[in-house]
Amino acid sequence: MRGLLLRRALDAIPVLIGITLFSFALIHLAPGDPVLILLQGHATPANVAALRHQLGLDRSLPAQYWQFLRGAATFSFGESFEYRTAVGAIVAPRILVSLLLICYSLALAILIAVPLAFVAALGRNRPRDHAIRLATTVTFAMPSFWVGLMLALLLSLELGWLAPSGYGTTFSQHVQGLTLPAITLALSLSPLLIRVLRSSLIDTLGAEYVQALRARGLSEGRVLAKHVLRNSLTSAVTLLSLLFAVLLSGAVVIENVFAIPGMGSLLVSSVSARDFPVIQALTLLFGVAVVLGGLLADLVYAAIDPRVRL
Amino acid sequence: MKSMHPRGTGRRAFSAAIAGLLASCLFAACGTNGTPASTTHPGGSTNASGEDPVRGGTLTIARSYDPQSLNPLTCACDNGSLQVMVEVFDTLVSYATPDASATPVPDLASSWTVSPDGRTYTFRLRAAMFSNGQPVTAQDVRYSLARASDPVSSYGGLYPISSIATPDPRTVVLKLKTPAPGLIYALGFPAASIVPEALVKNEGDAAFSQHPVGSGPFVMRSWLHGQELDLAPNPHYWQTGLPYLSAVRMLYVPNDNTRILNIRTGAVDIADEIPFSQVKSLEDEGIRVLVQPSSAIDTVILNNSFAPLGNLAVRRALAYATPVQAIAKSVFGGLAPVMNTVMPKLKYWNPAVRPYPYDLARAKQLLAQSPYPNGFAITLSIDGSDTPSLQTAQIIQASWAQIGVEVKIQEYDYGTVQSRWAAGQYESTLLVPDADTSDLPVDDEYAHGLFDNYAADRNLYSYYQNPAAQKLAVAGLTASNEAARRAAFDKLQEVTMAAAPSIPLVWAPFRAAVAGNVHGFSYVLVGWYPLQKVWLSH
Amino acid sequence: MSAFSSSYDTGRRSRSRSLTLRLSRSASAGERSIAVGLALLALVLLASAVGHFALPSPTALDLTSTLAAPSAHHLFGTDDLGRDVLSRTLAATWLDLGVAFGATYAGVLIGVLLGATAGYAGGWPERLIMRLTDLVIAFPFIVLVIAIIAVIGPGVEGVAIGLVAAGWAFYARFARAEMLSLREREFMQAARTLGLSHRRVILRHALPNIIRPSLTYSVSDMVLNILYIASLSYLGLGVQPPTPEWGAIISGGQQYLLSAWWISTLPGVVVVVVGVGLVLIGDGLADRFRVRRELVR
Repeated sequence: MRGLLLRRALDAIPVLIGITLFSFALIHLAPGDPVLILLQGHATPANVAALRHQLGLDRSLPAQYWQFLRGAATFSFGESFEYRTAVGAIVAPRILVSLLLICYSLALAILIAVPLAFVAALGRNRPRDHAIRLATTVTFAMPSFWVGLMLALLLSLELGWLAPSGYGTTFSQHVQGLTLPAITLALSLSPLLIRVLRSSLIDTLGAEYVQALRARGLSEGRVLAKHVLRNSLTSAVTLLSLLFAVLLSGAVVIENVFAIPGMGSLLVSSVSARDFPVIQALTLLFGVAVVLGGLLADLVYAAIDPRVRL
Repeated sequence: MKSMHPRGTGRRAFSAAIAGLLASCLFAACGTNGTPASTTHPGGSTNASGEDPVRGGTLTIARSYDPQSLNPLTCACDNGSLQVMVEVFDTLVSYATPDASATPVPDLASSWTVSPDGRTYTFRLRAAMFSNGQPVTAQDVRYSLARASDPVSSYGGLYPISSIATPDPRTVVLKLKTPAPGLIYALGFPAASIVPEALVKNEGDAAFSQHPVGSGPFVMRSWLHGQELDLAPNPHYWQTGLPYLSAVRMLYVPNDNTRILNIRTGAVDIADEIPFSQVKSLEDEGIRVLVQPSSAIDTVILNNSFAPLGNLAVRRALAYATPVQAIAKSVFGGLAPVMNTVMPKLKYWNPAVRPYPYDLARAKQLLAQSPYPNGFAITLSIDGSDTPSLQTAQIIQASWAQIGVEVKIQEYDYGTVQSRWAAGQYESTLLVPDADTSDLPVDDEYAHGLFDNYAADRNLYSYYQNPAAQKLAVAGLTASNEAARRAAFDKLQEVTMAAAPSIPLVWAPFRAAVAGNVHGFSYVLVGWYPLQKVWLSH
Repeated sequence: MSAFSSSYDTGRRSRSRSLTLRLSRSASAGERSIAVGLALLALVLLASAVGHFALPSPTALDLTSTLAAPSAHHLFGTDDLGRDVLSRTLAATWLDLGVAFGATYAGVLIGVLLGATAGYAGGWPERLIMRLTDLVIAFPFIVLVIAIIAVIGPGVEGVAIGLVAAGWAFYARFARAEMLSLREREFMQAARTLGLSHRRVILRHALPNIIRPSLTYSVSDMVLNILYIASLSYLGLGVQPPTPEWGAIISGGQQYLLSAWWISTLPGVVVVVVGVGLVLIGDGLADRFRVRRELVR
């Protein structure tokens, strides 16, 4: 176990360097000069040169990347071009927001998906299976801004149960503010989970050992919960770890629609403004999150299936 | 985070929401807001005559912009930050009136005199204090203006100043290189705000940008980036009795539909940047929408160094081939006046200049006389996430095709469009409707920027040079009397409209949805809404 | 017989008659599913072909009849520039289906092969490939797309390449996870002792089993990619106007959602129909795949 963790930690370093280097290279390859963007209509050659120097952009690319690495090792990521203040102050609050949103959404999605997947798998190819798959495909194929707005129209405008947007300052306000976005996300994530879980469940249910367990007199509930579910989780866990990683930066549309100050919208706005220090810090964060998520998933595989050797 | 449902049902525990979800009349007007029905106030503010202002209350505004940095001295001067700077800081003078007469009003300067040759301005400061209790002195003014007028600062408006003197703690004397009647307005722009010198030097620019201290009507109480910025009244504000409000909450709500939902549910009092297409439907629901003139121009920006566009006949042909009335109607909901000059509609606007009629025959005729009788191909770069740009571009594409000009629309992200424009790497481009605005309510900025600034930035990256226009611009900028100034600017507008260095479209107005109990709210021409005289009735 | 053997393809004949019956019912259900799915897709494609001739041009502006509600004249109404929404929606069919299909299955191919190799081989190859997937998954997609567009120019090709470059990692993860369980199976080890090459073992014996979750997911992924193209249009990257494309049409109607709702909603219905069709096909194939394997003697 310790060996595994050590190996993973060592492996993580080239991954993180790889991600940040790649991102650094790509964002500089893309057109778009943050100095020109900041100066807008005042980009005289003198102003451009002065601002470029102030932001440290007149040094060579390798020098700039090296400074980023050195700073990253001490958790200091420089100053944001747009906000003219420490990058950490801009990025840190957003981490919690995104984590809360993702956990809330995934929890709802799991809550919806597990029972429905069971019902569908057990009643395979019967009407209830078709109904579940049809209903979930329909919600899945609808664009999230549409679903989000419809939910807001219903739950906020018509029924007045929730505010239409916002994140709030206290924990209970956070939870209320994240409810509409979490439901919207869950409606598009749970179909994925249901499909994958249902498929694995059908595989497992057809296994001979399941019949053997039933023959030995175990109750159906016990069989399902303890044995069938456990052995069907591999793909679902893979999917969840992937979704976690993707949602960190990918919930942009939801964050935009519901005014949630998450990492996705920060990424988009900093890419738009070519705010290199913020982009680099975010990329590093995503890298760390993905590495950790992958490790967690592997540990879960090992836990649920003793045959797995990592 | 309020959630006041207009029918007074209040907010139930959301855990009870699971039961009984019946969607009914989602699209019908069942969710009408409880505000009294009223019509738009085109050009007007929300002052109800005869009522006495009520003290107290929290004004909640849903904005489409997020403030970035609140330090006037390192001003990137984006709309999000400007609006806050205006509340937290004071300038020497201000433009307090929303109309285009644009008379400068004393702010931190209680009075000023101008020497007969127009080259010396003497300002007398009033007794005012910063929100931390420190008095505002002439030293602070000198520090602030010196930094703001430094040639390398991004705010170029103070370029005429050659020296700043402070003979006593309440007097500031500005000496100019040449007369500049526009300077008094440039001093009212937030980038020329007065900051406490000692504090800024002590803390540094970066810290100050997050914790600004000014002498304005409000102080910044809290700031959650990307979410909300709260203001509280400045206890040391020099205008006694103001502001009326006891708190202001500025929420960042970037999505248009969500902002509208917020005003419809009563969660906010004001929602800005209402899309042109939604103004009428909001009014139909009984929500008041202010539509007020702005200093913005929406034009098809042409790169005059791109071969076909260097030719006058070609540019005029394109102007005749652009269906501006149709664009004003379909894209801007009929709310934006059609431009009759290539400049913003400000104090010295010349109503006598005629806009180009939509005349394809004339356009073809002109093109036939040019080196490109069979037309040519041209790219049009736009910000793909902006709906008015998308619509305008496609209308233009369809229309110019009829005279043989083949437009290839290139969508980029915002950063790329800006950079390509500033680097001159474009053939034609559209900016989002309120990107191209004048910071001053007088024509000086654009006269200088578009026609007298080639050496610095190729006349705002247009690569257009016209000596006659430049002469007229300089004449207006340095005129010693009002009549000469007006005459110069009038002629400038005539000459440049005929030369069509860009294709003028519309002057896009500001649009904000305002709840019925908000009074005293109005935009000023150059883009912000001062809040010190706003009050809420019950 | 080990108490833990599963329904993986071991090449052994199934034992009970009732199992056979259950499986063959499943087979025909699978075939029905495929048939319905194909029918739905065919319906949309046919409508697209008919619409090409019968409906107004998808790019012809008509500024006098903008934002017209659905009527007999315009079944899906008109958009903000007066174009017939149904015509635009149907005209986008080939483009969207083509891009989504190509982008998704290129990713599946690359990903499953790499993932299977990783899971099978273990050691250095596995570490390398899995850390590469970490990099790809963590990488901010929008940066990738903007950079690709910078190199090859604006348009939907850039988005498609980006989708492949970012998408293969998912399938690699799925395939490797399945392979981790599978490589311990007796039949796999049996195949090796028989002297079969690694390649044969992976391709012929492992792949059919591990590909199932990937295939199941890939169908949803295709729909996701269509939606992804839509959210990139929302940010202004993708198909260049005035070319019709589902994502551009739907996100272009976003501003009118509260008034001219038909611009976003009705094309969305078409996307849902296509999505349901694709998913039915995918599920049906997965069922048939599973059944055929289980019946192999």
